[in-house]
Amino acid sequence: MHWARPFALLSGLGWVALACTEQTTAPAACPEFCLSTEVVLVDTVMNSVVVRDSSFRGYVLAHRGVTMQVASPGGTVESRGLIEFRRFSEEILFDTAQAETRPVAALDSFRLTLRMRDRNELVPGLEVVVYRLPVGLDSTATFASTAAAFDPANVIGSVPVADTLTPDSVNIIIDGSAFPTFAADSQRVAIGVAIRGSAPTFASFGTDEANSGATLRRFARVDSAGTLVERSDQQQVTFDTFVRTAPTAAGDTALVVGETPSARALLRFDLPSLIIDSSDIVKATLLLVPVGAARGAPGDTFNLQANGLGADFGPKSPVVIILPSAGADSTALLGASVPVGSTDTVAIDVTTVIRNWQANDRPHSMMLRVSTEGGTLGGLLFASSRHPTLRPALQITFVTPFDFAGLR
Amino acid sequence: MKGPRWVVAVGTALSVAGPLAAQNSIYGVRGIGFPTRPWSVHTRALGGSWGIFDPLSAVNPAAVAGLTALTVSASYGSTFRSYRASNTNVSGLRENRFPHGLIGGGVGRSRVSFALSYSTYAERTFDFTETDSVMVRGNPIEVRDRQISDGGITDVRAALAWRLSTRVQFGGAFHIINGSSQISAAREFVNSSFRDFSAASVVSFSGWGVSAGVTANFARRSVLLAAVVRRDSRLTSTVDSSSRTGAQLPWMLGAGVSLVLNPAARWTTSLAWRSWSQAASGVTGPAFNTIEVGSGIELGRPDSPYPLRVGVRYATLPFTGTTSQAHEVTLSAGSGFRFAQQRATIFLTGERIFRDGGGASERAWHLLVGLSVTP
Repeated sequence: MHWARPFALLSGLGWVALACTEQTTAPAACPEFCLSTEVVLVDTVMNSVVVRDSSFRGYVLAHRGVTMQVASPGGTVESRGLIEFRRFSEEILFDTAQAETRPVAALDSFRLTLRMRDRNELVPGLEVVVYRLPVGLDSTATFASTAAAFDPANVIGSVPVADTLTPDSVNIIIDGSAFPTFAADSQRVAIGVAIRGSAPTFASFGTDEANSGATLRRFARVDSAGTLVERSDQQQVTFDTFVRTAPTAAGDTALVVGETPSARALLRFDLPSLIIDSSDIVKATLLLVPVGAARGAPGDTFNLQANGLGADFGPKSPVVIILPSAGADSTALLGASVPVGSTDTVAIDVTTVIRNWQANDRPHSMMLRVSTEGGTLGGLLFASSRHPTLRPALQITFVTPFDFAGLR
Repeated sequence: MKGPRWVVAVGTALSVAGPLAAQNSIYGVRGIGFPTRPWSVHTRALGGSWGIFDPLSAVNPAAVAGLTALTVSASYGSTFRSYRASNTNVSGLRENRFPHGLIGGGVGRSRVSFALSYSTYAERTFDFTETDSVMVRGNPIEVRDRQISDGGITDVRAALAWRLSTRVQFGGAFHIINGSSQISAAREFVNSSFRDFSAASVVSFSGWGVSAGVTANFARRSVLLAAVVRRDSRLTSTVDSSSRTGAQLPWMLGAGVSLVLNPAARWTTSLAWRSWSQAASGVTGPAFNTIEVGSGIELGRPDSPYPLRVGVRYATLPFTGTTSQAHEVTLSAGSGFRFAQQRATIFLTGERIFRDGGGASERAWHLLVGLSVTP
């Protein structure tokens, strides 16, 4: 029996080793050999869960927008850019090494650089036209108040934009004589930007708010020992905005989102407790029925987003942006893309918002807005909860509480 | 010092007994799980037939009378399974369990013996995955479902036996039936715009039972007879603090005979009947009464160092996924050896199991090792 103890020991070790390896995962053989309780998926469209709603305008003004959207005439909306540059000095840098400046002896020209961010790529023959404007622009400027300045007589430069160009910089050479009041205006310059194309179109330019505003380089000559030599300097934007034809009013049974100044819509929900308290929401979609075609620049597409609120203070409610956790799907944060002119129902994924309502003590309210507020002409008028037939709806796909008690 | 050393060893062995469950089966998905037997490894080698006589099994409380000295035993088993159900073929499943343990002995110099034991009453562990397509918002969406159950129901028995005479012993026992299953269900959508779903909970079970039995021997123990009856309560399940009455657990009637054919061969046969059909109102799907017949022969003299045990068992199964009853046939063989001055015994048993009917077919190897120590 001398081997008995080692054998027992080895046997024990062998069994312990086996105990570390289990394999219990197997394909299911349903329904005969599955749990008696199943995952119950329910999909429902609720037309009366939006109980109160309003829209408010003026969140982001055009001169605070990160883009300046210019739309050509002929569409449902027309807009023009307004830019004023910082004051140029009466002297210009002569010797960079010595930091020596000398008075400008002669003004030759300017080079205006616009940073184009987007355009209607389907419309060829885009041309950027620059107008001379009176200096002293501010946020009170409107399409009507500046209309007179956009007279053909005030055109100081234009440049065709290659059909393949987007996004990139657009350079326009302007003669030095284009600003006859340059000296009288204390070396200040204001311009207007309009576009035209083979069909109604648009182009969006960067603004000072996004650190991508226009620049104006001055080319001048200074005296150098009796000889005029070329020198240049550059100025940044001191004010930029864009003005548009007036939008139409929303009406009593419609809400507006987007446009400029930007508008938001506040929707308050009353969800059944079965869904909000007990179920597991796998997808929720907000359905908005437009009242008329989506507004905006011809050929543009804007993004409509729905955000939850940290607290419901009405129009000044703070919105909550929920970032996806690592590895989680982020498509729900993308909102809905709305092509200008579309009359289709707009569907926005609000799964993240409503699941956040379930997880936190948040007001059951959403704020709708466009993603580049103040920088787009795009906007949507959609039927409100007061509309008799087209009120906002919520389509929710959810899993009912799993019936563990029913397992037997 | 040998006594305390063994106590420490056995205590250690019992303390590492993690998953308390027994052999699993596809037939355990429905009903209360897969009912298992409170048998020692020794009994399993004999097709279960020895259980009604075995003091180390928790079948017949009268058999506890055979424990006159303090004895501790525990067993450990691994199952290797494959099955086919609903056109689904599965192989390579492995599970490891500690299905049974017992401590017992005599009460002083009296005619009374006691035993405390744990064993698996029903096993309900599985992990199923399924890929399917469901219609959501008018479109077919591919989903991956997963159902996991981990746990089972245990039977803790306290038994007392009385040696009326050298020939006849009586016994009675009280059983506490409890346990739990950690159940989770999950659905994963292949389309990432749908959020995945998962839910988990613990279902607890509780119940009780009583059993009584008798053993008798004749002709210098060359003939053994035994009978046992057991009645269990309804099984109460609790989920999230909400209790409900579930399946009525069965009556069990059993009887057995064991004969010494010659000094080196003992043949044993037993029969058991259980009224599982009573559980039908408390489970999903049908429940059937079961019968179980086991027979085995042990070759080797009582003092043989390496006895050979073989057995065969036929049993019908109480729960299936269809309206037809399933059955199982088990072929078993085993041996054992004593060591530590005959105070300890290691039992080894292998079972080959064939289960068929009720919409499935299952094959399994069940390998067990048991340790019995009399300090």
